[in-house]
Amino acid sequence: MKKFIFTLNAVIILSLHIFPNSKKPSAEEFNQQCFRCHSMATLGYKDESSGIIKSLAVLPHDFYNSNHKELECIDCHSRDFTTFPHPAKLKTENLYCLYCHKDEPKFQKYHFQSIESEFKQSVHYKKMGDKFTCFDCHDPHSFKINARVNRDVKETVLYDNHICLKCHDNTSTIKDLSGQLLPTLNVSHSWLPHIDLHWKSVRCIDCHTSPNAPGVSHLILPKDQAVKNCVECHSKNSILLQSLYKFQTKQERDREGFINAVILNNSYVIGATRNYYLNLLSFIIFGIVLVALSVHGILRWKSHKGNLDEK
Amino acid sequence: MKSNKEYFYPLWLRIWHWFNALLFLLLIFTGVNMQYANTKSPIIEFHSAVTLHNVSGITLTINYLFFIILNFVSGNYKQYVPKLNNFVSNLVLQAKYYLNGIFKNQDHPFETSKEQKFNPLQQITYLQIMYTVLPIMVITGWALLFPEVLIKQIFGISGLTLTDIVHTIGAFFLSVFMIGHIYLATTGNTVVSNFKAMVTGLSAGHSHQKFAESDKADWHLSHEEEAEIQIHSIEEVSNEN
Repeated sequence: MKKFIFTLNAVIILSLHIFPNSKKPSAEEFNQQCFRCHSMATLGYKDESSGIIKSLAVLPHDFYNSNHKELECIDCHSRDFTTFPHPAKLKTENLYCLYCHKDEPKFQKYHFQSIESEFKQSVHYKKMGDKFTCFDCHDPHSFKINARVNRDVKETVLYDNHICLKCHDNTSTIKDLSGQLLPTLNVSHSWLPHIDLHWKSVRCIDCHTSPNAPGVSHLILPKDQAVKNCVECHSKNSILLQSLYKFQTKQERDREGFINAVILNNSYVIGATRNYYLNLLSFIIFGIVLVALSVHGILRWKSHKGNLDEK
Repeated sequence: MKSNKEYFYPLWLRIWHWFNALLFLLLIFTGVNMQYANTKSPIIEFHSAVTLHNVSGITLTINYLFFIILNFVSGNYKQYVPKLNNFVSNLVLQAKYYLNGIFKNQDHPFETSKEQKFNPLQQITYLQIMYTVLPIMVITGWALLFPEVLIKQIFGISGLTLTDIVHTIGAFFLSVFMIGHIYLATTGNTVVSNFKAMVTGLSAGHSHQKFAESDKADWHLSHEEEAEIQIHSIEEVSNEN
């Protein structure tokens, strides 16, 4: 027995030496090294070519609430960043979302290939070329998938519009980017009734992109091609059904009408918000009233004619 | 031939009525255009429909206030106050007339005059339309003009959506009312007599000629009112003596 216990102890001790604590640090633990500096909100540098201050800050709260929260920094960035000071050559590090997202089967449903081709046709790319990248709109350190999963359309609208407004609501930023001093959004959209309500209820991209994309459209159109005809949205076949409300339950929407599918989303669109049952009921009541009055009228006419004949 | 027509409808009432009718038609037309808007065959361009609807709605509110004020000032509001004695039986009597008596060339069951222009069915319908449905339409209409002031959610449902549904249902009832109203306006002494009366203000009303005395419905005066008048008459006669 003593021999058995000795052997067991020997095996345990030996195994501890052969397999030391091999637990890999979690992504969060690993990223902690980077966040020691990069969590400082003011961390940044002056870009030599443009003279613009570029932020290097990444807020841990935003990152760990983003879709990339499970990644280590070096999953996207060069492993050379683990050395400090960082090598100068890393300044020109060139990242591209589709390096990861293009061929992964689990990302197929997001149609990244279509997004790439739409982006290449978009007004942003056409005007600014390679200077305009995914990261100008989508911050990979805080990016959250939104329209597909968010049941609250207003939240989706707020999140998505913030992406556009970061640049477009700031005339000096737009001037830096485009070289033109453009009118403010309130001026360029002054034709739109209830402008605030529209901006809380629809996304910029709902009017400013081509609606036929398989996913979320990235084909940002020139302003003269944007939707300006009210009925495009305010009708039963509203284009919002192909964009903003695309991910709502389609069958429910088709059968029960727009309102029932989105009623809990605090949504209302004149012309598009119709209730199937109320519609049906109103047509039936209207029909009955018309038939009843017609029959009544005919009977009155016949009885009147009969009275005249009697006389 | 001496006309037995009375001056039923004062000028302000006729102006209000026809202006109201015009606004109703505009609001129904533009409202239907908005509710069933489509890209393929718009009868009227959406933006124009919205503008016309808004302008008509605001004008209707002013016209409605005009009606309310003059209705009280002139005393015309009394026409809308239902008499509660025999209320249901009077409604049934009027309904029976529309469903049966009218085909037999019977007289209208209730006499109408300058003092009592509406039959019981008209009275209760107009009362509901003018003092319930129309205020609801005006209030919800104005709320939709300023959607930012609406309560965001009511029992978890969008306040805007609920306001719109109430407005649309009200509009539907007004549309049905308008069709019924126009049709029943043809049931006067002649098919067009009520329409003419609403233009000229002069109406012969409905008088009983064919009903036997015992069949006449007591619409003008309740039994109590009649008894009270008789007592007054007796008192006056005794005082004179």
